[in-house]
Amino acid sequence: MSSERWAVITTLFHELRDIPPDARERELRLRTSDMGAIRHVHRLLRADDVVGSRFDRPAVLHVARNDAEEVHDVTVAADTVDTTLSMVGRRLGPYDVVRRIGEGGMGTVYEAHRADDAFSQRVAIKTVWRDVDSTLLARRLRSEREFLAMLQHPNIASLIDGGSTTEGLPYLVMEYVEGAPIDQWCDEHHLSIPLRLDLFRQVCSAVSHAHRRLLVHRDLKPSNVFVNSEGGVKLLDFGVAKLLGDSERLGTLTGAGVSPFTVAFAAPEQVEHAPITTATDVYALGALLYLLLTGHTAVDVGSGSVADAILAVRDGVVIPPSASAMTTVDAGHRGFASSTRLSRALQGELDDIVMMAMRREPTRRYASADAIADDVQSFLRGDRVLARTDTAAYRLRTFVRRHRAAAVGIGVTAVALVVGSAASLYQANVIRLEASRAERASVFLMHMAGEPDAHFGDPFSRIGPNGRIAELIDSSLARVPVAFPADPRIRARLYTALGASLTASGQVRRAAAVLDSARRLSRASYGQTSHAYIEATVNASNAAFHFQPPRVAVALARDALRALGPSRDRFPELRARAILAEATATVLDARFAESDVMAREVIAMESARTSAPSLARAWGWRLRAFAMSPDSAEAALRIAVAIVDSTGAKRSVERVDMQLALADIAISEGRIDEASRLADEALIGARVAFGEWSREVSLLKTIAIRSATARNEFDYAAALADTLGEAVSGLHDVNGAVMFALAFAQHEAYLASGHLARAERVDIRAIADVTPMESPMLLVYTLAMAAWTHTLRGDDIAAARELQQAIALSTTREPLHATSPGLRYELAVVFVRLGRIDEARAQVELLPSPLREKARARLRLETTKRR
Amino acid sequence: MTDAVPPDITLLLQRAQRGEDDAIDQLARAVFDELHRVASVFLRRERSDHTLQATALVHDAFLALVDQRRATWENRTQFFSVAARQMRRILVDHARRAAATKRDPGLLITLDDGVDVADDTQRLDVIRVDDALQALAAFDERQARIVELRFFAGLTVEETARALGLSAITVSRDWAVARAWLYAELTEV
Repeated sequence: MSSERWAVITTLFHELRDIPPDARERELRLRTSDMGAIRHVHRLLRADDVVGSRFDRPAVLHVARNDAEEVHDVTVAADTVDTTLSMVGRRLGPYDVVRRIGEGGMGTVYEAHRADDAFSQRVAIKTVWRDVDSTLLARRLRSEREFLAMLQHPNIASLIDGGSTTEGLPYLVMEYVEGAPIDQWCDEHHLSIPLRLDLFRQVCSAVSHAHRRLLVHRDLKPSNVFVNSEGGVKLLDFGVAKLLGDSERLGTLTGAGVSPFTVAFAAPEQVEHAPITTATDVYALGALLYLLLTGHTAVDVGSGSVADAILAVRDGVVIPPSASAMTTVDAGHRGFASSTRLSRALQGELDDIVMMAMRREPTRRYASADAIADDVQSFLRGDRVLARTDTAAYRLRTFVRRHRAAAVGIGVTAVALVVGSAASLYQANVIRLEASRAERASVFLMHMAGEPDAHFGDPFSRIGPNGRIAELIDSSLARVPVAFPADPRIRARLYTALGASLTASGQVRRAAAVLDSARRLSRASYGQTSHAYIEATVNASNAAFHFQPPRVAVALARDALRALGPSRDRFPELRARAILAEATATVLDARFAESDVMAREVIAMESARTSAPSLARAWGWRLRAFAMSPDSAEAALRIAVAIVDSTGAKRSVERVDMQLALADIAISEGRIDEASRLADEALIGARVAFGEWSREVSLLKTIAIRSATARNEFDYAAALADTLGEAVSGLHDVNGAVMFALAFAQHEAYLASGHLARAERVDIRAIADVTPMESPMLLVYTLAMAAWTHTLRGDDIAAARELQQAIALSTTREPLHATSPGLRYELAVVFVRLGRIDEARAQVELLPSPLREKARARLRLETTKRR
Repeated sequence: MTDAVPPDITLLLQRAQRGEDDAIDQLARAVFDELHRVASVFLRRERSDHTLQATALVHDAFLALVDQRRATWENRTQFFSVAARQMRRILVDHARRAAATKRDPGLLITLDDGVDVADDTQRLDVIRVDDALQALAAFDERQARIVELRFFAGLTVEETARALGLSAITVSRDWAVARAWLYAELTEV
């Protein structure tokens, strides 16, 4: 055949493909008189009608299958094409087959009516294809029949009958379900969130029914969950279900036509071929709920790649529903005017429910399908949900039982943040930026900036273990005024770059001074709205962040944003950095809701600007973690890490910071081994990149100390704390937030091992380091630390003073409110010991309910003891 | 077989991009070796049907061979088109060998009924697909390439579109036609 002829045939094929078969002949003749072409097109269309999904399964499977079969079994008879066509018009048992409904994984499903007059009943008949190995299919259909016979539930499509055709092919007669897949149905009917949750609970109920019979569905997805015309859920297709305890229990994704969409409902253990349990269905329920709430799947199937979807499932990266990208249409289907409103509705408990169901580790998910249903019900009733109370109760336990770290409610995580700020975002861009300007300065700078790279190999290892980069910056700084005495523009640019390098290497006060010169020079020579001025100002904000109150960094960042003007297109990278600088300082000021808004903005901006991984976007996710529950925060941090890794910045300060935050969450959730592993992993790279005595390595060592403390290895923890203390005394110019993180680990280890004097020394230094930062968050934590040491040492007067200060501060910021009850409780106890009973009572009355009763009981006890 | 240092695939991809013939040859050989390895493992072990794993074979090879940090989109494209061709070779060879073995009655093995084939959809004779594909390539090279990428490499429509620089719609239309044609060729003796 010639290419030209084939092109004609192809075109005709497409034109006729969508019109009904009986009209095709006429249409064809209208278009061409070439009988040969007509014959070819007919042949193609006939084949198209029956080819089905044969070629959708990769060739390797056909080879594997054919291997497994006897040779005489392999040939496909030439006449099978016709016989697979249809059962329509035939009678199966007492049923007349009326029409084809759809194709399943192993056969066709038909609608049929009962032919005798006993009932006028409509049924669905599931058949198997004829041209495939019928023994294998028969076995599967048989097992499905057995499973269905075990199940009787209003939300499971019921088995009515079964039989064999005259050719001996088995079939199943099922309840006929007229309706639509659950997601479609919900959208078509514009169901509100509560109504969607009601339907979802029916799904849980059906799944739970199967689980109680030790049956795992394994293939829960919208196309298997129908809603019928009465609005009731019907669970379909137990074709790949398995009995627990059956020999084949490993997770596999089965069925024809595995699509990225199917993968989106698969649990990690299914793609990893690990054992499957009822928890596998719990995960799929979470994934289904995700879809019902947001309008899209939890796993991004946008790229259309099965492999990418598998990787996403395997990594367990799930963005909390409220943080996912929802459209106005999705919002409209759920009765919301905008996606922002929908997002707000999902934030909090619904996020937590989904995230708990979709946890990577099967054992950490809801224990059963009923448990999710119950939690959804609690949400609908306005009760506290388990997914959330879990962590709240945990926190309360740490407050009340352990006393230690009473005030550190939102997690020490907060603190690690401050290490990175947006400093190296600069580093990633500067060389490129400068090079693009054909100025003498850039040549000079390239020379300067080029050298450390050559020496250390990795551009992110800018804080060299032996301080050579610091020397290099120093000598550059000294040469600037000498080399360019008459050129303020070049001096401005160089100071801007060198200032950022100083910040990155930890010399923040010098950085601030140099950047101040850069700002003045660039404003005078380039103008107040110039790129040069804005960049110098953003860098100045980053430097200020490390040693001044948050408001200074915020003011500088806002100055940069003013200079940028309202247009988003103007220097988008600088804009992202400026917003992040403000957001980072805002976190330190414990205004998480505000920082979250800014971080979201940056993520959205960066996503729109570039599809390449962007450090700014990563840092946005890092900041968002502060406003989230621990589960969601973990997911956000994983996203941040994944982005950083794909930029190649594995050894960046940011990466250390994120790893540390992940380890911190793991510790506070009691996953000690995981925390140690995370820290150990990061330590290897950090030692090489930053050196043994760097703040990065020191910070990572805090995880080892806290892990030891948590494992009750107190002496070991104290010994590690001593070593860390030596490293800390060698650090200079390190910001108060980092100092707090270092102090906290030592404090905990010393208190637990009974070294109260050492603990007090640590506390005193921490207060001195933290106070100038004027961060309410850090101060509350530090004061609580000091108070607890003083309580244990019997210095109740000092403890009371510190607790009162901490409480006063904690009421000034919403995220810190969570810490007040623990602090008040402590204060009440201290007051009782001091004999100031009325003041103690006043504090107790301010406690929230469960804790208040507990405190009253304890308080009476203390009072009696005193008498 | 050899302890020699494996060739730097990413570099080969870059050189192949510049049209260096020996790089293309070396690349094809290296890709063949890796794919042969993963496919053999799959074919040896997998009697039951793991569709997902099968789909990921070529992707796994890609992840194993190519340094993700250095690879560009063009490299990825080039890799997949080389891999699809090699995968086709491997599978057809394998099927030929298997068929030859089976024709020898002395080696006929009975099917173990305990093997659970989870997916029981339709079989295809890969050798005949290969023959038909050669015929198709004679009058529509593009459609033949699409079948190679979709059927032999297990790429999705979108991935195929990216690999060939076509729109997804074009790919899925071409795919529909090519598929129908192959099926007709295979079933009409």
